[in-house]
Amino acid sequence: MNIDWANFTPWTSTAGGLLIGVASAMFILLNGRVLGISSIVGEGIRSKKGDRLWRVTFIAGLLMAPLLFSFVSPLPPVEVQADWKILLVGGLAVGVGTRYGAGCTSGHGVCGLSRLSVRSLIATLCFMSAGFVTVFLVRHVFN
Amino acid sequence: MFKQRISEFLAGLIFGLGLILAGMVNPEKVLAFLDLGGNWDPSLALVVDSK
Repeated sequence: MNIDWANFTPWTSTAGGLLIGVASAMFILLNGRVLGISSIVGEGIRSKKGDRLWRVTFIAGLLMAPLLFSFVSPLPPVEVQADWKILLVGGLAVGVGTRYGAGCTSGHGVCGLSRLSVRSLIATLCFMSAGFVTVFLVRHVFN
Repeated sequence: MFKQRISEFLAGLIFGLGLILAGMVNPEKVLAFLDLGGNWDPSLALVVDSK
């Protein structure tokens, strides 16, 4: 294994992880909900009227983050190599997968693991290993 | 009610700042973390670890 030290960002990644943890803890303590982005958005599409506003305010906060960040420091690059067809298929797969799995990296990986949920541990192990295997196949086997 | 709205908004904001700071907003960085067979960038392991 070759470690990419040039792009290794231990401090900012740790700090980012702490912020994600703080936001998740805050959400479960103050709002009594699991902070799972795919569920907040996905279940919002068919939600009833009284169950919608909190989703909108949360997403609004999320979308304001790049703006606030850019006042302090330049935004990191967003590099996408895949073309739009691949992105379309990938996005669809993520959507279907997170609904079948009842959560994504935030709901299962951050919140679920923190509250020692076995279901979330299984889900996280599944999607992380699927990610490693897919990247390996795409980059090193079929490339 | 109003307090709830504020805390939801702040949770979203802090979560988003965390994603940017951690580098998870860049798909190339996420792929570099998943690419064990190539030039592996272990940064994102620290995101999960520090929460």
